Amino acid sequence: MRHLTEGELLDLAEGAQPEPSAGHLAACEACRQQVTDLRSAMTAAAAVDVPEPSPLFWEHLSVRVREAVDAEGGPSRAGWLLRWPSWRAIVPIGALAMLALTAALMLRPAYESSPAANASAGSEITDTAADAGDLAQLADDPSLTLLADLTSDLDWDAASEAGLAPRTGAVDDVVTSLSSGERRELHRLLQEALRPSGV
Amino acid sequence: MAQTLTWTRPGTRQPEWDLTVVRPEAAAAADPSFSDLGEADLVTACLRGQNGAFDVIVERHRRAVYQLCYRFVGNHEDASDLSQDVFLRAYRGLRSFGGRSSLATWLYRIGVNVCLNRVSVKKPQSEPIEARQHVDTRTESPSERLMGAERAARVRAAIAQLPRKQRAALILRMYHEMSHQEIADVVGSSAGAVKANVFHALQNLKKLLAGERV
Repeated sequence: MRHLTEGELLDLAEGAQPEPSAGHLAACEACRQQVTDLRSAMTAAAAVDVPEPSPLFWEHLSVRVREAVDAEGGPSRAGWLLRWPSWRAIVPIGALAMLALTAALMLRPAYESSPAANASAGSEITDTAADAGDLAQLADDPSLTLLADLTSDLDWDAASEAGLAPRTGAVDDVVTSLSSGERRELHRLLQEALRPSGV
Repeated sequence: MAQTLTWTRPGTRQPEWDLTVVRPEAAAAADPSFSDLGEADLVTACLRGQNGAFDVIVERHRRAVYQLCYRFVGNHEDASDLSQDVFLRAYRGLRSFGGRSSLATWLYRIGVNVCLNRVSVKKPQSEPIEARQHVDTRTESPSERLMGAERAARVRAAIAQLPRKQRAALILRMYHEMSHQEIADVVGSSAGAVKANVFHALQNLKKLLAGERV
């Protein structure tokens, strides 16, 4: 004789009475005992209520949730990009910046082996006046000015969410760790690399 | 906001009693302009930054969420904190709510995850009866209250010893009257697996209440 399955026993304990199962139950003491045990456990569990909190609790909970939600700012910060009016401009500029950085990294080994570049990097510790002048020149670069204007309202978290900020271990992270002399050389190499293509 | 109701016996002019209802936190009431909206419209309004719509979601589901949390942790303070956590996580994740399930099912899913994570790091603890001052016990005598609390504590302690899936399935089935398929949607399994979990949960509960080990 085949005994009832767990699912059939549970159905019977919960009150469902599929005909074949009910027929078997009448003849099988073991299955009847199982159903009795299940019902006993259900009765014990059902007798446990959740104590009703004070009527004021519900409004208090709503207030707590509202305060926590207000502190959040918005359902998801992923929507900042859609709200940002200049988002269409940042996409091609970001792509261009990534292209330039990739080119720079590909050219970097040549820079490291270049005596002129080594001399430039070696002199950067003492030549602070020259650095300041070069950095000022970099600041006047119209492409950097445009990028700075477009990202002036962008905070660090939003940039990280959009994938614009460097990630640990990423190739673009290397660029942010360059010394001022290395960055100056990178700028020169980028200009050289971009000039023939007319970019 | 206070509202006074006065009862006068028919045929007399003298008021027999009056009742003053004080609602000190009227500011917490949900914006009535959202009250008639359906779930999808409420979610859309929330995503547009209209937080009043989320107040309505909280108002509609706070009791069920609190009761779910209480079933897992067995005390008011933790259930209250967890309920807040559930709604906050729901708010953060509203963009991921695609409407494939009901909002209630989605909130239950968050609730079960939050509660299971909490009880895995903190042993569920029923509160002592003297600590239940927030509970409305006007309908119980002291002896009934004591016996009921002891019995409830034993059952809750037994349920707390059940494996996670069995516990979640039993709580949703017994106390939230969800179908096996609805529970499967909440816990991310099949209706058959849920039935098996409920079956074994009841078997184990019976053994635990009889003092046996499972």
